[in-house]
Amino acid sequence: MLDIPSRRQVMEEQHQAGGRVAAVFPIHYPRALLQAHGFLPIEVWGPPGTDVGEADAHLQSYVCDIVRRGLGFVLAGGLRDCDCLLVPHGCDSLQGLGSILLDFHHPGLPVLTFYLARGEGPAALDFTVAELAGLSQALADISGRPLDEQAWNRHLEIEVAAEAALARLWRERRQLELDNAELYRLLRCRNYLAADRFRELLDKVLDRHRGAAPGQKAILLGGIVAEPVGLLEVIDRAGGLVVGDAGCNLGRRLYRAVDDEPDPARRQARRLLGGPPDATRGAAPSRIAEHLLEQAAGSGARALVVTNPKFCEPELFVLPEVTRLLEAAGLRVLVLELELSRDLPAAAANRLEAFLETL
Amino acid sequence: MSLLAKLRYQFMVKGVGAALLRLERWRSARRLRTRPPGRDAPFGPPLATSPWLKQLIAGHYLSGRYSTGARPVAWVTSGGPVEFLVALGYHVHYPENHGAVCGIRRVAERLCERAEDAGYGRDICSYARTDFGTVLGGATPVGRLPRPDLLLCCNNICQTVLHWYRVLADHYRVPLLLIDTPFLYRQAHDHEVEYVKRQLDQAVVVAERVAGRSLAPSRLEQAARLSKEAVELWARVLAAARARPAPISAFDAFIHMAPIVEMRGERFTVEYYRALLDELERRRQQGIAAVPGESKRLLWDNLPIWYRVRWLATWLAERGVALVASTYTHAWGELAPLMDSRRPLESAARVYLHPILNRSTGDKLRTIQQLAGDYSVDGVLLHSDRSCKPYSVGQLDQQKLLGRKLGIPALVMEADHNDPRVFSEAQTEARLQAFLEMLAG
Repeated sequence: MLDIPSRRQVMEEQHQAGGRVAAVFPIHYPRALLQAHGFLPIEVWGPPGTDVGEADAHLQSYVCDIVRRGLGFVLAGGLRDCDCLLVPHGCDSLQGLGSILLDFHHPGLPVLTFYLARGEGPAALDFTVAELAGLSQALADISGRPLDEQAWNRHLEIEVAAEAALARLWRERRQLELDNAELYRLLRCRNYLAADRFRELLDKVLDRHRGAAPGQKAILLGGIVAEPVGLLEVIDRAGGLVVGDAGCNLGRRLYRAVDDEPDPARRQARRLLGGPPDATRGAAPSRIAEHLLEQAAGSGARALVVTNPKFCEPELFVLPEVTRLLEAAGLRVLVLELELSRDLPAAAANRLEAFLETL
Repeated sequence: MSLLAKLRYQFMVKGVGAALLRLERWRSARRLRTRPPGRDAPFGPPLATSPWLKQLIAGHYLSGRYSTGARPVAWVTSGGPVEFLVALGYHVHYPENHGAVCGIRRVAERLCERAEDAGYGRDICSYARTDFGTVLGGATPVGRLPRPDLLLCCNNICQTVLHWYRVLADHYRVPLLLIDTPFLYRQAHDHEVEYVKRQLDQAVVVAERVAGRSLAPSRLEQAARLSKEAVELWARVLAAARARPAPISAFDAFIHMAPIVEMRGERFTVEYYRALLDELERRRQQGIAAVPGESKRLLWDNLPIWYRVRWLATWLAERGVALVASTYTHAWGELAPLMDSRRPLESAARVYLHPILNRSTGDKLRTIQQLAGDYSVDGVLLHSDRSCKPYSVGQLDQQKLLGRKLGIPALVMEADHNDPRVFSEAQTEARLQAFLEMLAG
């Protein structure tokens, strides 16, 4: 078992060191900016085990699990040790969540929002820079100290280094003896560890866990988030080997380095706008398929397993065409709709096992 | 564009089609005069302008049918800035309006199923599924839709339209203009307005290239002026229902809103709403009610349940209940003060940032409260629309706050605007019955 600190431990350490904690809902947000203001971002992806009863009184049943569990977690006091909550604009449901938190629920800590431009070009870039300035001001108001631009640049470098380490891990995946469940336990701590600590952890793993990877059937994991954990255990049992991630939680947040930009605001904005094609950012199905085929070719994956929570419209729109294009190019696709909280349902486990057997 | 297509367009749309539609309007108007509804009908006399409305809608689809090759065609989201396209001579098609037509004509379910067969899940918007079903070859009541030369998507109503139009752009391989309108959690900031303005400037360049002509400032100003006039008239049409009894219901408005959605910037739209307004003023003076014996007045929130509009209107009218206002129809009239035809693109940036669906849930609650007061309603029906999350998320809190803090009773009704498979008539009826009993006190 890898020695990985828990969320709780990391939060306590952050507070003991005099830092602040920002709870952050999915998906895209300026991690380095938060760090530069002294806030450690801890992401909230619909924590499994959360009682959604309270959230059910505020959200309809056709709202996805990430948002419902997220609200349930907030209302149950799950953020009591956080200094602010950031709700990036990821989709219509996250938009609604941010809005009702601001307007109706007032969860006892500052609620901030961040709109990710869906447009392209100079107008989107300038808008994003201005949006970052607004967020920066809000963070400064909470912390009581102004932004240190040098710190922002430094944290951007650290983020880039962490992403490079992550890219290296995927390149060397077949020489890592970790099974998929253990690998994702490691990767998911990207959601709450500071980038430098995450990178140290990756480097350590890359050094100490050399050996033949346990699975043979190379696949990509896509969709929103690889949950529940039982999913990975089934892949392990069936001899699958995840050689790349194309999910919102991980792979779609491997942004470009943007080394040629000295201004941290513009660099941060260009990174956010130049990420891999993502349905939630409104990417075209053809672009997503093209990117996935490149990723599959680069990693040797023979199939893509997509896991989404139910009611995820951005994914549901692109999947038919993406699937058609991938299969036409010889990449097999399995789409699973799963709830975050539960163990992997038997029917889904059977489908996954059968799918992996055919590879 | 081809000469043959242009000649065919002139002959079929401007010539034969226009003449036939005039004839049909005259015949419909005569039927209305000679065969008024029976004494048992729960509604007041039908609006005399209805045949004109039918003529406009049929003419619009007829124009679309023969537009391919004759004039540039743009498919546009319902909240999209359309004035510059009108000024450039585009035929503008609105898939959402077409979806509503399919819903009313009870063919949306079949079209949704067609899209589902192609892999589009039942959890995506039923308008989008209706559209995909049509694009994939499903029969539509309007005959044939024009192939787009350009797609214009403005996400000021939802992000759904962005995903939807990406699929269309891949399918038709035509340029997609995105007007990205940041959601307003609070009031609009300068950088948000500037962002939209710059996108509009860029969109005009692409639209000019596709149309093969330049945008004449005078034409744009004219389209913007006509658009503003129509929006102002529409707001006055809706305001007519403040009278007791209301001379027009929100159900009527759901139907009569078609031109304000898909024919803004046209002179005939202004003329039509002026006539409708005159008629409503006459009805008000004569005390003609949309619902005779009006005893309760309600406000509607969210899209209509298109495939049950008639059923719901009848059910309520039979009980003396008039639906006198809706946030949905109001959305097309409330932004008139922001429109400035002398600065069409600058003002468009502000206008198209501010539809109700691009504003916060708290702001929507204030709108409901304002309308409830203006229209003297007894209660609010909140349609929890499975296909429209931006409209629906927040309703459960809005319901509680309306009741507890503002003293306005509200009922949440689960349905879907275009997919009848998720609608339960019995359950809806039972909930409505209980709500009316509560209102009766």
